[in-house]
Amino acid sequence: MRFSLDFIKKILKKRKKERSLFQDFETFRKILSANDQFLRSLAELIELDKSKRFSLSTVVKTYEQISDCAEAMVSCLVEMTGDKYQELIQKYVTLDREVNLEVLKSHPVEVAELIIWPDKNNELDVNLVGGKAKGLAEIIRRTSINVPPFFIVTPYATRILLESNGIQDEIGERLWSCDYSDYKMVKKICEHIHHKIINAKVPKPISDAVQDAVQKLKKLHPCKFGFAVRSSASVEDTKTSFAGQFETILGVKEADVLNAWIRVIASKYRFQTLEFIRLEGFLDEEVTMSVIIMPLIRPKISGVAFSRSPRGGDFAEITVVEGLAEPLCSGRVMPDRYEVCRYPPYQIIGYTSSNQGFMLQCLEDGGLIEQEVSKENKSIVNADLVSRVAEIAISIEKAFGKPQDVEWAIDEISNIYVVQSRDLKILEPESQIEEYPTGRILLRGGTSVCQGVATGLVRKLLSYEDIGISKDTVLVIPSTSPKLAHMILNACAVIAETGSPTGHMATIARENNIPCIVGMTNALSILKDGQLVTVDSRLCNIYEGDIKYHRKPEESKEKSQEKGYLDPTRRCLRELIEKVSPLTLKNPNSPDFTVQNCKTLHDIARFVHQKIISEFFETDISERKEKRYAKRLLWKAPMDLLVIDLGGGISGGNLDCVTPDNIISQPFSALLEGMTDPRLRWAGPVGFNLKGFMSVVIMSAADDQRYGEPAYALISKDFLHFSSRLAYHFATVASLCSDSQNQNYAKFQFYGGGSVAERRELRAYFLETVLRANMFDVVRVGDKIDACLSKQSKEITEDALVMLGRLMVCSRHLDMLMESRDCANAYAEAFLAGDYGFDFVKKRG
Amino acid sequence: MSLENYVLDISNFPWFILFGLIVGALGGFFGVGGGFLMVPMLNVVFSIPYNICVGSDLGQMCGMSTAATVRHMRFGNVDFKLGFLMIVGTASGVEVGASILELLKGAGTLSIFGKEIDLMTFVMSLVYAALLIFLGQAMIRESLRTMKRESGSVEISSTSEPAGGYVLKLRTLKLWPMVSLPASGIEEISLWVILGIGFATGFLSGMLGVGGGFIRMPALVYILGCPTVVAVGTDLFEIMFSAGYGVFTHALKGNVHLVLVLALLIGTTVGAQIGASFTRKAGGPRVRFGFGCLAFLGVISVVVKLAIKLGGH
Repeated sequence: MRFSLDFIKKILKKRKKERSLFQDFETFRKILSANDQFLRSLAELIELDKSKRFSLSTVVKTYEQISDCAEAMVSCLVEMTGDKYQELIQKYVTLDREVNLEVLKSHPVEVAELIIWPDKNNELDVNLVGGKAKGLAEIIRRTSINVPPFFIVTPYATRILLESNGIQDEIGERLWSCDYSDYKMVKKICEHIHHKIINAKVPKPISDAVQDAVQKLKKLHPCKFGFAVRSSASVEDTKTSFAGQFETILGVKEADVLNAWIRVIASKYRFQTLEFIRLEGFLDEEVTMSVIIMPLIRPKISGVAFSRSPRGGDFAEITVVEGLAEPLCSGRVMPDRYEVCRYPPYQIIGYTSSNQGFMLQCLEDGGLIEQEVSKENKSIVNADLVSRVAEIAISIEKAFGKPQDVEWAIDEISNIYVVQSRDLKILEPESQIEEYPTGRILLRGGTSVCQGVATGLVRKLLSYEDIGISKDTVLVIPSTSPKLAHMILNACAVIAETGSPTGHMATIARENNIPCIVGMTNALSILKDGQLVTVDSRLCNIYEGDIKYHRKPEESKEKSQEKGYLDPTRRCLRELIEKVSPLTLKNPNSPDFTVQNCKTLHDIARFVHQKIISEFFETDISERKEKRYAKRLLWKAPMDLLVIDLGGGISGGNLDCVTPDNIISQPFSALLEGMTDPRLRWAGPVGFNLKGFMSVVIMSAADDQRYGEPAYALISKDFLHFSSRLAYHFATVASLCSDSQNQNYAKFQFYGGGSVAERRELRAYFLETVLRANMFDVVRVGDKIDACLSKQSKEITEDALVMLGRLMVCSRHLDMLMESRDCANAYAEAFLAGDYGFDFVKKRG
Repeated sequence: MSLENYVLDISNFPWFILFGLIVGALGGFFGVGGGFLMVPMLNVVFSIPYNICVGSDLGQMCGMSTAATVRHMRFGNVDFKLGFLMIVGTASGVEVGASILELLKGAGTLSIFGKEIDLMTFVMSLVYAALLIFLGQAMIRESLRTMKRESGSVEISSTSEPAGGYVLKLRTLKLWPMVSLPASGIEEISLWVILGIGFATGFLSGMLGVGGGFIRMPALVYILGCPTVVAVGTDLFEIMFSAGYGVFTHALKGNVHLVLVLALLIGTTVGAQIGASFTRKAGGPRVRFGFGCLAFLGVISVVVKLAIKLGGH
């Protein structure tokens, strides 16, 4: 019972789904025009790469158009064909998603937690917690090293904040569409956005969640000295360190935690940070902001530990300052440096003392204070503690399998805490310096941060003002500062009077292979603006002029090209083109022309375009109820031809018949012109051949007797679908013949015939020869011909239709006469010479 | 030879309908060829004598084609001049064919291996067996080649026949009187060609009870050069009259059994619809292959029936 009910339902459903010919045609047209738009937008996208400047929003908008067209095409095809191409929807969604995630990096605001706590058992998602937090969480997970407890405010919270205050839209509208070469403009926009974020209102769910988390944190650890609010951007400490690019706020009072969170988020939109992001080749969207909130440890001493010397020595390097490590990282103070053996018992093998000058210390309940540090009141650092720090750094290296850059702090009761750890870039140890440069040494000294040789013009930078830096600038600065990071990326070498080789800027110089010397005293006074100098950071020498000393200059040049900086917007565009444009589905006749093999949106568009044309091509009008709308064509050719107008194909005529003069459909007119060519012979003996005739007799003894049916023409102003049975064969012509050349096509199919296989096949061979000579793409299998002429101008397409009209008429009985390939060739030759009545046979006698 | 000897009475009416249904379905499915089986199978299944089979089959065909012609005439696709000229040829063909059958009917019996068998059954069985073998093998061979070619595994053969020798022109046959067929657009053709085509098809109808359309259609198109639509219309028109004349002359000779005609007409009308609805799904060469096999089954049954007759009594 149930079965039968289901069955009936199914039938009813099918009935409902049955579409009219007119609907099908509308869908067909929709797909064709979407395809046209798709190709145009794709061309625009590719053109964009040729223009010098373009904005991200243009790229995104163009892609959206492309994607919308593809979507429209897919949904139209599925709508028309039912379940047949259902999987195409999934394919489109997958490809579109891939592009959005991997190229445009638009992570949809997926609902996530606002707060995440590190978990000893589970790995955190770096997209949710950022690189820095991920590193810390991994230390907790993999080792038993002390890390202050912390929680993470996720990018989801950031999104809510920006969206609820309308800032996200502004970023999209203003920042993405601005011209980055106009840095004053960019700066203005940045300032505006920064300002707006700082003054944004925190939605209640976020403030509640953060307050709760802070209370929980207070239970885990005495938060006597306030909190540290640290950035943890998605890209931070991953491929590049982004050292010091985002704000980290220390000594935050409990009440100020939310404000500090906002400030950290806003720091992404500081001009120099944004420039740095761009110069490092990231899109704004790729950098999502998570924020770490942890109690601030009041350190007796703190510093940075490199588990291995970044300059290639096989020892750990530890810098130590009194109080907080912040002045050390930002390059404001010179630390004590220890070189420690990498193996137990981690003996100190080198020590450089320096004058720290001042220290930063935190106050009870938040707030920071700067204090004098003089040689006299400097506390004695216990060597054992330094060894323990080295041991910790090396054990983290072991846990992660890579050398680490660890920020640590030791509190009053000698607990060692790790507050940050990231991968450390180790420079390849320079091979032996083969040749010492000769030249006048202007300046010598300091510590090499990144070894290399560069020649350029001196540019002194006394304030954090943004100046134009070119590729041949040797930047000379008073002290290292992460605020200058975006400028050093453009310079060919960097000299700093003071600063630490373990500071943020040093890290960035190393990562980008920019020759850099820190602690080179008197650099600002000796070097002059505009002076041509050569910096050799291996020897820490600065020579006068271009001393033409470049070890293997060719190679170094190649290296820099290999790195090939690409503007992130352009990179994004190129990746997008690479993802969308290649056409892997080339041959529609190949068995590989399937949904599964669609690799790009272009493939999908091509697939849908091909399928809709062939689906519509296969429409059997004699089985559609719309044939009752057909009008009889009154013409002189002896052929029943019924015309169905889909729109704009007929003008005038009466209710049930039309004359050729009433036809305003251009492709149909062209076909009729061909079919009524006076040179054609519709009647009269076609020549007689007994063997051929017998083959026809045998064939017609088992024929399905459909030859009594009329031919149908489905037309609109620029469209034609003609199907007929002219003798014993089936012929179909479909064409779109419009002003937009890309859409145009003329498709021809022919199969069957009254006589036996060989003869039918020879006729097909005759057709193939003629069609190929008329520039058609032809596939012949047995007696079946599939030919197509596409993307030709209206005139050429019309000419092709005239030709098809003639060809269909004159070839209708040829199969009986086809004896051999030579014979087929002779007929083809005659046709191509304009002998449509095949009078050449008569002449030959 | 009276009808009582055969199972031809009113009580068999439902069986005739079923038979008509099956043959009609085969006809609908395999096209004209299905009709070839009607006459021999009537003899094989019901032991109806061939003359009754032929006459009644023509009666059934006449009914079917009348309906079809009426439909086509509305379209005005009939070349009446051609049609009437052909009817003359066809009628004489039918008459000759029917007379031969009549002669066979009265020719008495033949003694083979000491068994008596009536000459008509013997000759007709052999003629039908030969016809079916010829068609069957041609179909099977053709369909196999087509299927092989459709898979694309065979290249076009470059036959060695000289290009000049392929056309044998029937139009040079300028045998008086020449006629023109304006409705078909044919300027002139020898009347004898038209009559000849009519006679050949008529002969087959009259003697074997087959429609003859399988010769007439190609002949109209390829020999006379009628446009397809006209050929279709004229062919149907022609069948109506040739079958009509066939029925008339066979009726005079006592070969038409009205109950049988009625039953077959009902059966084939329905059956043809059923058969036709399957054809489009199957596709050309497979249909022909199927028909070829069916033809051989027909041959086997005819031969077996003949063998039983010779061995039985």
